[in-house]
Amino acid sequence: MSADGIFLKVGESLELLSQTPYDSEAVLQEALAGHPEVIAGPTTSGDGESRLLLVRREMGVPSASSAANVFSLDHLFIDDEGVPVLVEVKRASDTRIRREVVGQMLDYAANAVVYWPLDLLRESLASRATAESKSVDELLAEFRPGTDAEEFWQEVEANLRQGRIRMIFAADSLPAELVRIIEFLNEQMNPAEVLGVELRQFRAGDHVAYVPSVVGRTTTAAQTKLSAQGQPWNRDSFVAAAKTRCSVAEMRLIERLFAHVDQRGTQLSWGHGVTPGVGGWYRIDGRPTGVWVLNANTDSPTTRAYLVFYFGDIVTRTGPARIDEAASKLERIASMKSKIGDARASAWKKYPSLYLADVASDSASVDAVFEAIETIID
Amino acid sequence: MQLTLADIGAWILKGNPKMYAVQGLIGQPSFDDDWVVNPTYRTDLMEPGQRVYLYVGGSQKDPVPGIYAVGKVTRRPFAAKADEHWVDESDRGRPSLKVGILLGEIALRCTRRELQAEPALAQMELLRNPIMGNPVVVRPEENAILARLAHS
Repeated sequence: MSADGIFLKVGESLELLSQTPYDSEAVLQEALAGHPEVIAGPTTSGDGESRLLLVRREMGVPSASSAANVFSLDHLFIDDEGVPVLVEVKRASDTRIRREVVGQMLDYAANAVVYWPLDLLRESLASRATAESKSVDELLAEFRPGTDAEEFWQEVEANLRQGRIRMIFAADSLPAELVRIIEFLNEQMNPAEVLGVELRQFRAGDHVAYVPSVVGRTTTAAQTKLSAQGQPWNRDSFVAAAKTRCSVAEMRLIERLFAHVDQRGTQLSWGHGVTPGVGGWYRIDGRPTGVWVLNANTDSPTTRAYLVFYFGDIVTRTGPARIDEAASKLERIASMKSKIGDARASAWKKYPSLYLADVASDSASVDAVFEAIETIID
Repeated sequence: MQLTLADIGAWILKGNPKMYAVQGLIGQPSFDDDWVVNPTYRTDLMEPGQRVYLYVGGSQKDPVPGIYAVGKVTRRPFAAKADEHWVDESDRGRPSLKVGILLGEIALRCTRRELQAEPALAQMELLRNPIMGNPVVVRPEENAILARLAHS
């Protein structure tokens, strides 16, 4: 037997799941609301791990002329970067899926970024939580473990006000003319994003499979959006870039700094700049604190990698005695003496820095760097 | 009258030590990060590659007010959170609009007094309208003079 569809192995036999139209738009909407993960991965970062938080189905959108809600969006989600995701659902059999739905969505988006008070979004999520006998904090904890609710809503508001939203047209099948419009809009829009998702349904008996495919992410659209976003460095890209600039001894020092954070710190905070940058964070008096920043400084052939100590931030937590003790260790490095003197004279408001090349080949200097860090951290 | 791209020779980004730990940057070999700007139509005109000057303001003697660095815009303005270097703790983490910049070595290039003493800069927005928030515009003809004063 051969047929189009999905072959599901059940025991020793194969069951054919055939593509099946949705009985109604409501069924498609329920599938999205109940299982947003079917569109989360492909429509967010694309790594398949991302999630969407459903804020509300049939979300009201006010307009300029009326504070009352005059539009109604099918679904409002928020992704794990706090980006509002507006989803409008249509079945292919609905003739409005050709052009009318585009105007409808742009209407929602234009009014949402201007007229959606954050309180309305908060209340909507609170209503959903009540309906599910949960608290908002529980919903947020399930969605983004360890998140701070206020911080989360601040991110949402900042994204909304900057127009950083994602509009998704979801359908069982998207007509070619709508796909062309979506791709055109997505190439032109920045920072907003426009995507289409075909969510095909395959069924056999009690088995249901949803197969999403995304349109709109053309190469041009990706370049338009990527050029406006800083891509964070990571360990591999940092090391690869640093190796083009740094000596073996400097690379050894860099690896030792990373290893020190792995063992004693809380995190390496990767920079988003054009040159490779990273911050070393540790606990100081129980709170994660940035202690140093390392920049490989690859901007031109004459620039050199350097390390900065964030004494100005740390002194407010530790008081001057601990900083003074750490600084006295750094003063053993010849190139640091005058810088430490300046920093001390400014009550540590100036941050002392050193070039890796000045210390990397001298084990006593390298030891002084780590002794200074150890003096400051818990 | 609203600015257009043709009016922009460079941008000045200001930092006030009373509000932000800008003096911590002085002496650093570079600064490759972002800077808070006010969300106005001007930020739509900020593009990667445009020249940027860092101006340390305030009325203190140290650091003496003036131009401290020259660099370029690396990333169009984007939504982010204010960092931990704001003096007032309540400012930290607040939603902000930031522009990505890369500055060269941060050290005093020319003082405010030297800028004020240059007749050709008398109409420069930084001096004419000192309460103007970031970003402050430098007209193309002013940029040629400012570049000379800032040794860039």
